[in-house]
Amino acid sequence: MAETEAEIVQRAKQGDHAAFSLLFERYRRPVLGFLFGMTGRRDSTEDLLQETVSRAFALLPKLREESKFSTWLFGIARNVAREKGRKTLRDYAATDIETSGTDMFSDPRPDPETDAIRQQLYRAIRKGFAVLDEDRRTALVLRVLAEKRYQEIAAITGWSLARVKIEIHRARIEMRKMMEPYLRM
Amino acid sequence: MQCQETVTELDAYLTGELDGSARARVERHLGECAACRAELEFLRKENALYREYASTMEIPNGAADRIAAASGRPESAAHWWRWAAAAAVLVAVILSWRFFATRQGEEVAGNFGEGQTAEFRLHVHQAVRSYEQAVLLLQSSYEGKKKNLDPALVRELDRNLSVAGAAVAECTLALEKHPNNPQVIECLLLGYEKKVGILKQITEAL
Repeated sequence: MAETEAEIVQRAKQGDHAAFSLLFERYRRPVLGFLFGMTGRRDSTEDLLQETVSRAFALLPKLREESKFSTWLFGIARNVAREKGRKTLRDYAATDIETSGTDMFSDPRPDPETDAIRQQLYRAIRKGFAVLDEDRRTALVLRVLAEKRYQEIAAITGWSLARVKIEIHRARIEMRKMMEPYLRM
Repeated sequence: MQCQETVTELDAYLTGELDGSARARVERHLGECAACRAELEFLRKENALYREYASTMEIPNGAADRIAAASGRPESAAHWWRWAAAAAVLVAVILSWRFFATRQGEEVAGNFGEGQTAEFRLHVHQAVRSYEQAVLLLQSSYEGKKKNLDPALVRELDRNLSVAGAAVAECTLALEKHPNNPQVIECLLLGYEKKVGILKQITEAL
């Protein structure tokens, strides 16, 4: 029978390196997506991921409910993004989508198949996240970039399910305003 | 069910997160409302766009392995000194640069070319990371032993750590505003040194 996540977490808590690596591999992409969405900077996301994983590793022995590892991990990532990402986001919100093609927010790995309009759309999404207020950004990033379910977003943020739904709905409306010009092209 | 109520449920409906009765209510409304059906279709495309956007994010090749290896290594708290030693070496380099710069009567960044300034900042960044690793290891060891200590002593130790932590936080904020100010950098590094020093005393005494 396949090992449950709680069992893997239990092994990691006891110092099993392979178990910790397994958890890291499972959560690397969603946590990376969350951190990137929250801060808007690709170049510092690696540092933030490192910080999140280091804290998780150090604090893992204190995790009481192994079945809530994911919620706990995203709580740590949220704190890291809050502490370290504030300044970059402020800078980002002030940038101009049209002229930011070669700035620090542009994709350092340009995909030859991705056309200029697509790049502008991605920039609009990044800027949209940057100008959302923190609660809406947190809710939407958890939903669409970390692909979390509503119940888990409620557990990570400590909000009611109804509030999570409203925050996400309103965030989507604000994001659409930012993306609209590029969706029509 | 009205449109306003339905639209906040559509996303959860798409991912199968609604229970039976809520799903039935949404489906009944969708059967009657063309606008909400269009919204559902738009939402589907929008989610696909966000997924596509998320797929553009990746850290450089090898970085993930480095992070996993560095963070997941079953490192003992007794190894905190390696990080503290690494930080101390970097602090020595930083202070020597500062000495050179202040001899010229200018601030650090004013004296270096762009590449050198970037290198200087990288040293500061790496020193901070090394100190943070040392703090994490020491703190983890302290947290594990706390329950066996006298509660009054724990309160006292936590108070000292909190003061050191506040100083570090204050200097970190100041550094955001003045990234090239040598006094601020020195204040931050000394703050970390002090915090590591307190934790070292605690763990050695336990």
